[in-house]
Amino acid sequence: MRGTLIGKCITGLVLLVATGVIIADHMYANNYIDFPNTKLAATSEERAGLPDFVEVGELVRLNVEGEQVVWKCLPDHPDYESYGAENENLVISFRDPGVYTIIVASYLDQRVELDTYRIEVVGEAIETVTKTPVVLGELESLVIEWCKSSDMSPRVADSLAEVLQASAVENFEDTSTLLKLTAKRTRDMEVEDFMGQMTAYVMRQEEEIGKSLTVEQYKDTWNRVARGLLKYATL
Amino acid sequence: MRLSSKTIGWTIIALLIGGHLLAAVVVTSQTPKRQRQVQDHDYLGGWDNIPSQERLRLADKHLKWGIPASWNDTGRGKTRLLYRDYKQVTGQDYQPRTQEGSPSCVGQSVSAAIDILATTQIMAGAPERAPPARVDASVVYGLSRQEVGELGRAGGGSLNLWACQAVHRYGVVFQQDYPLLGVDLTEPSPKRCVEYGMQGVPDSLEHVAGLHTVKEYIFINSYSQLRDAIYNGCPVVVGSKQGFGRGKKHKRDRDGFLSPPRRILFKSVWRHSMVIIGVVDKDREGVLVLNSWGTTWVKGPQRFDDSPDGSFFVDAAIIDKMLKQGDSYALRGFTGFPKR
Repeated sequence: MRGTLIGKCITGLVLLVATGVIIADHMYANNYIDFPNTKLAATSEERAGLPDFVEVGELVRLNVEGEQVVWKCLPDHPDYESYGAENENLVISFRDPGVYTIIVASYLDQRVELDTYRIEVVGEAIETVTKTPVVLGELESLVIEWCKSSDMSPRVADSLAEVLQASAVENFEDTSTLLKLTAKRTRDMEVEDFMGQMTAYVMRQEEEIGKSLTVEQYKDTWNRVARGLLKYATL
Repeated sequence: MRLSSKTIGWTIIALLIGGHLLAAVVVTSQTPKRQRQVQDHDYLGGWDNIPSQERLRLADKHLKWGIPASWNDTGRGKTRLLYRDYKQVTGQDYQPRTQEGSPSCVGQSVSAAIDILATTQIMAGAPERAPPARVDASVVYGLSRQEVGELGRAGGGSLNLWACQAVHRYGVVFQQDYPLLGVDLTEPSPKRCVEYGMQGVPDSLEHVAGLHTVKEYIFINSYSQLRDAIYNGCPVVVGSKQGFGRGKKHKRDRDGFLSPPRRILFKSVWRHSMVIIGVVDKDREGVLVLNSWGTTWVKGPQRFDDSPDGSFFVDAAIIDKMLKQGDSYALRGFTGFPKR
């Protein structure tokens, strides 16, 4: 009799727990929601007026309404700037004559609006101006500053100048070998901080001229840095 | 012998108490197993366990930028998937990072956020080109621990706040060779993460990092703020103790969501940092979270077929709780690479 009662109790409890689990699972089950794709709309009517053609170098302003506006110029063109809370304004000028297409995308009334502008540019091409590297005097001053901030001793500065000058007179086929050899030669000199500043300088210079330095340009830089180091060593 | 109703009642109560005790014993005995299981699978986090109030205090002390007024409610009812900008700019799908055996989740998530940010601002019209490689996480992690957190060799892990301060003050370097410095960061390396995390980053890299900094990190502590940040192209790093799935079982539901365990017996704690790279503020509201555990740790359908492997959606209510733990930031304004 006792066994029967205990058995019933246990069975009841098991059933209770199982029911709870099923109910909980059902409560937590996620309902499937079909998510609609974003709709692409036809050409917007909210476009600004635009002349038929513009001169090379002339400034063109465009404006659209909408949220999170994205501008794109084809063929790709560097002389443009977008601004405004939603990037809704664009200012662009062209260096070369030709036909350009500007595409603009924006959200408007919960839809993506796409718009295109065809611009014909006339006139003579403007020669691209390449920024010249900084002059010798500036780099020498920078090197002295780097030496001071690195707390470099005159003896180490002298040794480092020697290493750079030695690298600058060797024949290299590619810049990577020059850089690796210079790094190897300076490894035990504890001039990490200085080398970091020098690397950052070179990388910034490359950004300014828009391309990587050649072996000769590197060697020229090494020589100029060496002269700055020697000047610091004699201060 | 006939049992009285009193005896039966006491028997039931005794069984209930016994059942609860048994459950407690099972939970206690399982805890070390679950921890081992996590380590076996390299599911390490690395987000530090500083009490919430302390994190909020730190955030208040260092926070310089508020939520831009122009963001207010802009993301309401919208869908924005930032990884699509990455694909558009680079032509490649964004591959999740793998922290493997290192507790570098903070470095990984902030680095991933900058990868994405660099491309969203290009899509928004910034006159920049795509970075030559992905951001190196070991440098972000090392700078956050040593230069900002001043942790020395103690433990592992970091805070999102420290990593955000690190990329703001010191900047980032990329997964590429720096031959003049004798440092090759081309391959991501958990070992290097641990090394830089313990010993700091080489001085030379700090100068190079200064070329590419993040201008703003904005404290985010609610779903609506997060939604608006993502909508405006700013990825958000979130640090929390919230866990998902059951043990090794991480399976997205049919909507692409991963949920915390449903019952106390399956409690899951991740001291972890991840990055949020998408939001859907309609139907089932939620955000797309990208983890740093590679591609195969989670299975199941994706809400959007093109979502990165290793990502999952989290319900708005859950992410709101995670944000309330006080170490989540939106990154804004990366100094990238000018167009050539």
